[in-house]
Amino acid sequence: MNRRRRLQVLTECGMLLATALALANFKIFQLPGGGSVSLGVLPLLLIAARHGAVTGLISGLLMGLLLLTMRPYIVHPLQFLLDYPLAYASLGIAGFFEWNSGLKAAAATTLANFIRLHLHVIAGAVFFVADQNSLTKMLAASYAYNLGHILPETIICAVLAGYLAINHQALCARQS
Amino acid sequence: MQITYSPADSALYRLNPFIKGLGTLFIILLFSVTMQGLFSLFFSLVLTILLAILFKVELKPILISIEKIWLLLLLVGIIQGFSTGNFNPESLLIAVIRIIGVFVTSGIFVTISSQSELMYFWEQSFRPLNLFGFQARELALVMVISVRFLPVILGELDRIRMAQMARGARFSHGVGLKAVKSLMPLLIPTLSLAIIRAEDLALAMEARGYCVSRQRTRYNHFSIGFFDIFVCGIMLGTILAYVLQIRF
Repeated sequence: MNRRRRLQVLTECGMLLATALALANFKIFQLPGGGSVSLGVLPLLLIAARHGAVTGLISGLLMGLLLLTMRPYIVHPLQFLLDYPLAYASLGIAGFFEWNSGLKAAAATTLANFIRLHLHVIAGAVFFVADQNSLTKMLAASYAYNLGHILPETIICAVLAGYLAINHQALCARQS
Repeated sequence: MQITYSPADSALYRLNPFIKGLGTLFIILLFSVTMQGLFSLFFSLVLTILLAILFKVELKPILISIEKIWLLLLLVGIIQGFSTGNFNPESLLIAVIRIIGVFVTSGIFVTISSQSELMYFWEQSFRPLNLFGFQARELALVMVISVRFLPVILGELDRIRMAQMARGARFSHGVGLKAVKSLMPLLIPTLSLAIIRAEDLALAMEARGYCVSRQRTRYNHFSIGFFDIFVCGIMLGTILAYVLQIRF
């Protein structure tokens, strides 16, 4: 990649991250359990689709670090790593596939969100339990809590990604 | 009430950002990893809060935010308290104090660090990545752009929302797929405008001679003062004392 193109990719990642942060504040609906559903992850998925998985992973990492200043919620060092940088970095996985058909885009988005769900679940449960018996209980509680806000987000993102791939191919085609 | 940066003037605020981050990490590890008894954990928590008050940190939002983690505290407390079969109040209290300690410490870090100080901290922390071929400066540039342009994008989002509403669009209308569909007129202009703006920014930076890989000067300078060295000394001393206590 030449220098000029590289700078363009960097500024684009910065702008789309800013959009992601802006959309993360724009709540679609609030859940009774405390979580909320927003479209904050969609621009990140778009970065991954446009520039590949590696750029998507790194942008996700940075998004996690930036979100820390907006809503700090740290109860354990490993929970911080899993909940902020790694959970958002996992969205870059959507970039392993080119979004050239609606179904493919929706599948890639769902896969990325599926992995993100598991990182959140592990972050919520594993470090606070003492023995095998309580681990299963804690995991079940963590699944119930995290599914509550990630499931609607995944469905919305998958529908939007499919729509983008069909009707706005120029927006999400791989830039080489 | 949200935990955000609230400016004040004290020695803690004037610390070098990197030392601030390091100190936060140190206290978090102290709470979460080390094997301490109930008394010393409680003492550490009280000391952290006392120091925060002495250095004029706005603690109210952090203490109010603890109610956001009540569910976690309750679950962990119950599970740890009954872990040996019968009720054990000491392990319950230890688990709860550990979590509150980490939460309060990280909240204090966010309260005392401004956005540019955090950028500096992350940039310094990314430095070892240079060994693996990542440019720490590039990552920092992406973060700086996103922080600088967040207000612009927020304004743009609002402008597009108003414009589409004037054309008769109705947002958050309907349920399920219909609600998602109603967001389209807002989402697509925002995303494509962000991409167009990024191209313009790249051109503007290039026209002014910007080059990613070159060394450049900083807008904010952070120096290392006497208090920074003092804090480092305290951290080293604590680690030494802890290691000695385990060995002997």
